[in-house]
Amino acid sequence: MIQVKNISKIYNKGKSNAFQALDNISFSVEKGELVSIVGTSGAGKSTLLHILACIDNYDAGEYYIDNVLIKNISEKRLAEIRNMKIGLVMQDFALVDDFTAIQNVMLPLDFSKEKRSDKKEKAMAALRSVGMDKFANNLSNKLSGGQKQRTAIARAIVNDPDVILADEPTGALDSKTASEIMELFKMLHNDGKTIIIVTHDKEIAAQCERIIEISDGKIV
Amino acid sequence: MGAFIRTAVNTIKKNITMNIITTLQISAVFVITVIMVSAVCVRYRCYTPFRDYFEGNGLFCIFSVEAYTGNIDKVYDVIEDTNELMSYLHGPEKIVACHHLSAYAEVNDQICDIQGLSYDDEIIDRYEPELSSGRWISTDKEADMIEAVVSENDYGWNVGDIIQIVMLNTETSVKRDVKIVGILKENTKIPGLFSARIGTDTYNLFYYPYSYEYEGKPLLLFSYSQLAGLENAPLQGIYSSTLIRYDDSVSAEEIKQDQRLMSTMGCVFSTDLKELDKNSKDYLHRHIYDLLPIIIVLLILVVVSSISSSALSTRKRLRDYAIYYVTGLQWRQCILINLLQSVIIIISAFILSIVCVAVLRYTNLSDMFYISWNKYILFSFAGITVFYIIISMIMPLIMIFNVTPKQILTK
Repeated sequence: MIQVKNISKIYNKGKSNAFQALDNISFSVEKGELVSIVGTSGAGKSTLLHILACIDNYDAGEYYIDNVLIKNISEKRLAEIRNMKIGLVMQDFALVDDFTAIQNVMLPLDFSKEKRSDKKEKAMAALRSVGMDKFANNLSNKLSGGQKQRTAIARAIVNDPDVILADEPTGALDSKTASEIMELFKMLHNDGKTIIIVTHDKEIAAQCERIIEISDGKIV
Repeated sequence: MGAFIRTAVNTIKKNITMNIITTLQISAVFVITVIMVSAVCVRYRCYTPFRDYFEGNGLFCIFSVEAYTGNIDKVYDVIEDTNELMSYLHGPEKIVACHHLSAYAEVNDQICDIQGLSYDDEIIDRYEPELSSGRWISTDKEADMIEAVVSENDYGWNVGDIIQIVMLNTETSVKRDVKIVGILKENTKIPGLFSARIGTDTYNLFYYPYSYEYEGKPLLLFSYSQLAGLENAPLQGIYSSTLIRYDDSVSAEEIKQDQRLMSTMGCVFSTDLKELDKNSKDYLHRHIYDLLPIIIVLLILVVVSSISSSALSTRKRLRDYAIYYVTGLQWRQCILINLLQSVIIIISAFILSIVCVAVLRYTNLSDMFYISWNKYILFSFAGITVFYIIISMIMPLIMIFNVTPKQILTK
């Protein structure tokens, strides 16, 4: 499903303040795995996740998602991959504040050619699967942290992507809500989803099938 | 594209107060532009139809029926036909003239005083005064009835009415049916009659703003050729505004001789067209120069407000654009959403300004502002639209392309 071969990333390349964020990272994730990437702050785990999510590029190596090499491809193709193959969940939820929950969930569907009524059905189904169908028409800035993260997860899965990437999904939540969110991820994993969670929390990481530890940009 | 438009509309709704203010601002610019361009166009409206005359070698003359002769017995020795006038002069190329019509109206068997004017075909074809209803007179000699355009009046004469006008010539008077085809707008400029000479002589001497309320009698306008073709044709002496065009080979001395001759033939005033044209152009350009500071200030206001409001709006929306990017949009497509917002705002402003102009035009406020619809207004609208869209896209382009979605989301 995901193959990372000798990925390196340098910030401010060629300048006096150049910084190597990732150094020769290699790993793979099979279909249906629940993997966590752990490390201390500044280890490079978020940088790695952003590369996996196709919102950042890398300087050396190769990254394959579903056997497609993510290198030197068009912006249009990258956008399609982000839309159809990847679902991204972020620490601060990344919801559009003045949109309702269902409007947020429909964002990945908005720029497809499906009929609007079909899109709404899909969005409702996604909200239902995360227990948020009753809050579909609530403004996202009126939801609690846990509800926001559920909405973000619904958006991440609405297009049935190949992989779900989560960057510190429980970082802004209390422990009880964090547990609920992890249960949700496990439920999705049981449904066959491939999930990669970036976290600094070892307890969260321990709930995953496999842990990849990063320190100073290298896999430990 | 539908999704982009929907997203743009949703984004506009999120910032509704600022967008309403921007819309009102642009709408005000449109309305002011209409008023200013109309003010310029109304002046050119009277200059342009006879521009080739004004710019050529020739004379502008004013003939007066009363001045043909001081002797009442010889009052009918008038010159009616411009060809006859041409035969007296040093080979002019063309003469176009207004003609006086001796006539009165019969309303309910009462004699009613009217002012009658007829025009050479060339005047009818080149210039159409503003009408409040109906149409301008035609030069169709085969028309089944004598046509006339009438000013406002208290006789209840309206478009389509057939009225009785008694037309006189040197020997007889004939009552004729005349069909009203149009009603002049009050105070509209018509060629002919006698404009007061205020300041320098310009093309305005050729026209007169006819007001029924001031004159006290209705004005009827006819086609000279239509009346001249009638049996027992009425007398139509050359009267008031007359333009005489000479070939460039005719010398100034010869033209002066013609001026002296015409002064014995009923011409009470004449002036060289080149001088008239120079004064006319100065008058027209002065008006534009007077408006120029307003236009410049307006443009500066539009620029400043467009840039600042679009910058503010984009700054607020950057995070949303980053979210769109993460969910599958290309970063440059966010520019499209921004552009569509500007387009929607300007379309709204355009519609609002049309409504405002219609209100101005069709209510009593039109007494304060002259509004005309013509291609120059449309060009101005198009220019403002393009200008606004370009200016309002400058800051968003700079902001969007100076930052990455990742930087926005990880801030």
